[in-house]
Amino acid sequence: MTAMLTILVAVHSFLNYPRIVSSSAYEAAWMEPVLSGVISLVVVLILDALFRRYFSNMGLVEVFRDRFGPVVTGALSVVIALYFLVITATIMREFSENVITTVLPNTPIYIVGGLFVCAVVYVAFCGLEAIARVSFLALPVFIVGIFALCLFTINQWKPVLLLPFWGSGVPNIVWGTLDSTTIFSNIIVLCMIRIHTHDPKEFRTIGIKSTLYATFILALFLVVYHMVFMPQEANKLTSPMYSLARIIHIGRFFQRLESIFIFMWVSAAVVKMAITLWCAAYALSVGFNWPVLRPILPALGLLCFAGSLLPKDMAFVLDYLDVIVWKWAWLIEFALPMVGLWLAALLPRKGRVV
Amino acid sequence: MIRFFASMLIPLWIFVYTIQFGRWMQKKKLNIAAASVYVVACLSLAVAGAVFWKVYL
Repeated sequence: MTAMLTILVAVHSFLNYPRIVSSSAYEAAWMEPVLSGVISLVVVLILDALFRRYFSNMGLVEVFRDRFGPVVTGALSVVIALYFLVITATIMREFSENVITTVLPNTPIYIVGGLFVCAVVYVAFCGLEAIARVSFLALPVFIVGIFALCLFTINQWKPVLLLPFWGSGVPNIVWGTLDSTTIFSNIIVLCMIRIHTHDPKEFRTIGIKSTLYATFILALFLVVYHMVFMPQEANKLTSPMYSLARIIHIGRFFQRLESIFIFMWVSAAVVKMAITLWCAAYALSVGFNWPVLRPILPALGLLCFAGSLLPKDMAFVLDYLDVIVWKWAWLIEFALPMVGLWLAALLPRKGRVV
Repeated sequence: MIRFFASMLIPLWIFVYTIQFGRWMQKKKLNIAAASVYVVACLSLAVAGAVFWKVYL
């Protein structure tokens, strides 16, 4: 579970995240994941205290069903499922665009997106345990890949590019952090799958470990990224990992290694989208009392694929959709579980817990 | 137009598959669950249709 949730957050190092934090904090971009990590740890501890005290053997949606009744639970499940579907569709579009602009320029986007969605639906269809086991195998590859990517660019590092230390200034760093903390979606996913963990009491351990690992990976990547690219340049790069991999040049035989990293990039993306798709299906299945959730996965996958192609271009996704989703996702990721659990603790039992 | 209809074959198959799931739940007297599945099936078909319509026509 820790590996799965770490990948869920750390995969943002390949996406729009470095660009957004670079544009808000400049040279101090690496501080934003650290501060976001601290905020996320506080949220994990609050949620853990609420779960331990009031709902020791339930997940988030089960708590809603137990205390709020079927109507409110149905509405909240739809909100949570929509959030996960929008996240999946946005990431699918970003990855598909990155793939066609970097490695497959002549392939239509719906072919790339279609292959992505087939892989994602298949992995999600195999279930949560399969996703967690794949993540457990993928995480070492992912970490070695990130370290290799950082170390292979060692001859391009210019530590002076990390100065001034506070980048664009403390207020900008703080506002940027508040806007981008929502990449730590591991918290809401953990709240939802709590009942499926080996021991629900491990909530705190899994939450803290996955947040710390992801924070370390993101901060490390951003430090190296900013030692290689100036903030003005970093603001404009939409695929940071690819840009970093392209400039690897260590002698005659070690250059242009991006094809190796693209494998890692795509694998991590599939794991991330499989988790978010499964969570969307799970929220709906608990909210509407479906006996099983697998048969709905193809329809939700199709919805994500079609939804990812609705925006007219990549600029719309990067400049509007991504920014709006990140700015307001805290309502669902942090506020909904905390306020929901607190309110649920005050109410008597209503529904049936499976 | 032919490419549009050809592209809609897979969404149509997914629609039928999802509706079958809804009918199975309706037989088990899970009416609200079945209705929610019908909504998801219709929504996915409609959005896929809109996207392919925009792409091919």
